Amino acid sequence: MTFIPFAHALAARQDLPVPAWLFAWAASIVLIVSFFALSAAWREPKFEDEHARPLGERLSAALLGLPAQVLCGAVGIFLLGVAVYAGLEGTEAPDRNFALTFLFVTCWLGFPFFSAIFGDLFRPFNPWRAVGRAVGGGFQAIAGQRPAHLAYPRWLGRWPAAIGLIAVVWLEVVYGSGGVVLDPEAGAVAVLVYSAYTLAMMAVFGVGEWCEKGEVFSVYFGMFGRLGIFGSRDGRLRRRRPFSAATTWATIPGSAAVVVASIATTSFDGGQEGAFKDALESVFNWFTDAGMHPTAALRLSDTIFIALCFAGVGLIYLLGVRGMRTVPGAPPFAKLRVGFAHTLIPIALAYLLAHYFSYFFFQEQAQFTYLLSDPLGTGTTDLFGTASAGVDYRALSANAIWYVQVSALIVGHVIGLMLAHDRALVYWPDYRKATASQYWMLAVMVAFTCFGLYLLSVANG
Amino acid sequence: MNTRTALIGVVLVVAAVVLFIVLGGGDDSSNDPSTTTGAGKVPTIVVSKQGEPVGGIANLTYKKGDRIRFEVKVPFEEEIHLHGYDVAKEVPKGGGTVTYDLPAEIEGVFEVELEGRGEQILELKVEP
Repeated sequence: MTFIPFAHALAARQDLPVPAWLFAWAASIVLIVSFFALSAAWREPKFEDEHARPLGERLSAALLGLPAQVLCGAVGIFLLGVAVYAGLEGTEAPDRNFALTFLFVTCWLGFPFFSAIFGDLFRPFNPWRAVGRAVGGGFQAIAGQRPAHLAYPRWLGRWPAAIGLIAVVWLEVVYGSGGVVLDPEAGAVAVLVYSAYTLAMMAVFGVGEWCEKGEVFSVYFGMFGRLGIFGSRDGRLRRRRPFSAATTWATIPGSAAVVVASIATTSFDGGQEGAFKDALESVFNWFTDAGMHPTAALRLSDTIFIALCFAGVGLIYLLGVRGMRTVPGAPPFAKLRVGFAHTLIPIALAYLLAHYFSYFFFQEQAQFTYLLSDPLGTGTTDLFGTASAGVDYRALSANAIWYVQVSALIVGHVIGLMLAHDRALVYWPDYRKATASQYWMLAVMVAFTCFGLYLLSVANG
Repeated sequence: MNTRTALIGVVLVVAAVVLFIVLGGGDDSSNDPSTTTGAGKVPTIVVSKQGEPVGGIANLTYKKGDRIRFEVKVPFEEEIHLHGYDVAKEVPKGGGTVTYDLPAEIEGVFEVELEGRGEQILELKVEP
């Protein structure tokens, strides 16, 4: 049976593994940077306050006012509608249909990448939020009162989003591999099912509450948006210190699970054709030898490895937290676990960039040329005159891709260290104790970064 | 404080792992039918009647600027597709052999498939 990772269904080119010499250099730089960070770091927290400066009132009104909200919401609903329609009515070929590239590349990767720079870009375009708010507004206009909602259980926190995140990746990389390809129609049906579930949850718990805690895409993209430089408060657009908004992100239970799930699922996808390939095939063979159907065996072995990645990433983080507890004056374990979860967001972003940067770069050429002109992929329309264009795989050299991958991991490592050191200064006002606590987080970051480099060095090998 | 010791331990472990991978990474062509091609004999991929590559999915590695040369022998009518380079060749009814001969201009990892069956028969690498 042929293993067909989902990326192969869309992209005709995969990355070469990072060469051993670059891997060695990068890992060495990570270690040197880490020691330097410990010795040269600041002694007062710098990121706990956003240092937000409000932007002009006119600009805020234009970008955050009701007309802009309605317009952005309508654009979000329209594009989701196009994706669903293309999925249901267009060609079965995944690479020629607008739906899968739009959902799994343009949105799934584009929002994290750009939100990490500019702040949460998904929120205004969130189609489910737009529908939920419109329905809520209509209800209020007719009934004369706001719709009543159930109280959201505090313990549930962001766990629905964490589980949903794994489910989305499962649909993308597990369901869509090995014999049964995730076709555009299945993608469209998944969107419809998710839409019904999301709107129901919004009706039960309220739009704002569900978007903050349970709606997978709001939580996931919003997490990366906390790294970005723009945010809004009290109807005013604000420019804030980069990364500072991340410091308050993880206070909701289950947040650590979201960021761990992000690192774990990217690790799985990056490792399934490299680091985990042989082990995956062994487990797959074991299941098929036991009489299981190959498709079921492949899905089960993939699912087991995703679960193992989640457990492994979570365990490394918890070991680091446990280590910090040994430093005199440490807060309780639970407080530390929540308090440092946001420091993994840059690592999660670095993993995404390292593993999907070239995939995003090349697939967006398809998105903005032939998939836009011929969304159904039937060859009968050419809306913008670009239906016959192709992807230029010469536009990026292997060397350029390697340097972007390695740089992403190193920069993510440094930002993670900065945030961790900053938070340690809050918990241990004594600078020396704060530094001692960071030996542990440094070990966690080094482990994640070197593992990320290792995955790249054996990818598609 | 033993945290310092723990850190040194972690650093040593990471350094050892890096060393192990770097030193062990030299013979990556030992397991599969992987070939770094040169100017010699043109490799031939033989496809069985069941539509699978005999001996498993082959690996061919080229340097950018080389010529990509290989043959595919198929016992039935099919379309052979080299993805990325987007070169498709038709195998006529009753089967036959198609030959690829083109410059290695695009770096990366590419699949060659039996397009009709969606079966991968060859993995082709072009290195810088």
